[in-house]
Amino acid sequence: MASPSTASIRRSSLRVVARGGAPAEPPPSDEQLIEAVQRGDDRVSAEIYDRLLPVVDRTLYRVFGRREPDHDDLIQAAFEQIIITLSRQSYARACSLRTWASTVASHIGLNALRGRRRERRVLDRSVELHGDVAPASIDLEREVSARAQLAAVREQFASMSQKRAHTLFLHDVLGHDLAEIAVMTGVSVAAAQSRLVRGRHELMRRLAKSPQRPGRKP
Amino acid sequence: MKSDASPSPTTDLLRRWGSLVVPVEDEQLAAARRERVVAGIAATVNRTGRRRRGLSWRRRAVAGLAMAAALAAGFGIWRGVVVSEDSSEAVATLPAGGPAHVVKASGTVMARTSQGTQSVAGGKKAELSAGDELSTGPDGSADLELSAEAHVALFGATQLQVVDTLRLSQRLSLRRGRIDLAVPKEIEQNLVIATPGAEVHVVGTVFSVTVADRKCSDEVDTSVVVSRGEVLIVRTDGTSVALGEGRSWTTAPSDAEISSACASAEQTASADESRRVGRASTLAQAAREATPNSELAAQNRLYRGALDARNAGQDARALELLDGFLLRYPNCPLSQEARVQRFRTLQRMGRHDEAASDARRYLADHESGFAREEARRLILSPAAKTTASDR
Repeated sequence: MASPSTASIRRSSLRVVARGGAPAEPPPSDEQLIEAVQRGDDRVSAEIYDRLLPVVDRTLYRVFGRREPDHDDLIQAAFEQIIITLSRQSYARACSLRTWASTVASHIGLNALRGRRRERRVLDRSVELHGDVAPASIDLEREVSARAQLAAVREQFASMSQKRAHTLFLHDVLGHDLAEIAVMTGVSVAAAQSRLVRGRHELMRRLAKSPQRPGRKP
Repeated sequence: MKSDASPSPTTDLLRRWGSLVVPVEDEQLAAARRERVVAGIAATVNRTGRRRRGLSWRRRAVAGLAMAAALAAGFGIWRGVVVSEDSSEAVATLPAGGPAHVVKASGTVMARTSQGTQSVAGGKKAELSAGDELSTGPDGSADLELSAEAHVALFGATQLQVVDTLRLSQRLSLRRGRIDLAVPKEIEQNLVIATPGAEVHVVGTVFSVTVADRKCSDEVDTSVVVSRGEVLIVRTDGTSVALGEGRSWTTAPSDAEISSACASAEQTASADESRRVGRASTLAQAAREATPNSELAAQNRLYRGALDARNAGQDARALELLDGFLLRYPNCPLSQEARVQRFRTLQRMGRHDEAASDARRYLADHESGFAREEARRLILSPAAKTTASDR
């Protein structure tokens, strides 16, 4: 129990605070951000970053299965590309800005994956790509096996037809629907569907031929 | 729309790929990156903004210079046009400057310029500037040379206007008749032929454009035949079609439709009634133009037309097309996007209450739709509330 003197000290330390305050400004809408970019107004840079970073980061992480050493550079490249497409009005505004950002980021990521595959022809970095954890238990073994399977799939994605790989990634990995993909990639829904089906067939064919195909013991 | 292919081990694997948990980043690293990337974004926004402003300034400068040149040409050179009743073929040499020149004329050929209407023939020079018009009688023909060495041959009973004569962009408007064009592939200009029903964008080609009255109708039809190369045709609704070598395109309905239109015109003499159904027939024509080889392609085309109209700032047109789209394909994969576009368009047009109603319906049908946040914001926006309480 506090003594009277302590209580009075506490009471005197209380302050009267003005009630409420100005209501927080609502964040700018996607449309407002796009218009600002097209006007060349760079004050929206931080807002664009905060709004789109989660989706860009997540997409790039999923492409590589981890944050690569050049992850920050890829994020920077993705944002630069997003701004350029907004500025040139290549973004048709038929989907949300986040969806558009994931499309651009996946494109950047898949291109980098493809570049890395070319690079590995000269410098063998397969150990890095396929995981390097020695299994110590059944769970860990399963985990390592799953990682190896995904690494094999990524490997094949890097050598697939670019358009098919992109469509397959957007649909089966990121979960966009065909109509969205059609609008985002500027093709008809029928063409997007065709790319998806052909992409799946190509991937299955490649995985069947691959020495690290899913389910095959090394 | 999801693909209906049965899930395979590969598809499962891809789904697992998509469900990878993304670990949280180190805060300090994230903050350092934020600072760097935000600065990069600001630099890119500035750079692209400057480029756009620079382009805009350059375009205005080019337009101003071209206009000054056209005015000078209009005052100085047009005096060389000589009136002649001679119907024999006349050849004129190409003037040193100026945007478009009549280099050959035979029969009745008239030029309407700021100086008045004059006949063109007899081996005299004739130059056309922006706004000038060249017409041929039923017995007439003329050859027009554009500054980029593109040649336009006018057939009989043709009416052609020079709309723009900018150095990098020329635009002709064909109101009646037929023209044949030969455009070298290396042309750097953007040449557009506008007709009442379409715009033909030219990219190094030989082709003809005809504008003719439609039988039993007040409308005119545009037909394009490509002999060599390719042209891009943009319809008035914003949709486009690329036309390759040996192919033709027309806005004219089929013979059967014309016959049926003529028959019905004979039966129903009431002009008022025709006017009343005019709008319906326009919509039917838009739908007919969109009649697809495949339904999906048609949906995409129609939707793209609405987006193009919106991008061109034609909100009313975009709204009309979106309504047509939703009426025709209420349950197609793009209907969600079309509904979002519809409430955005209404909002832009200042019809806040209708936009909010649309947004409410959208939320009811697509609770987790991609534009749910935007729809909620729109419903809660002060403008929507005000208009709702005003009613």
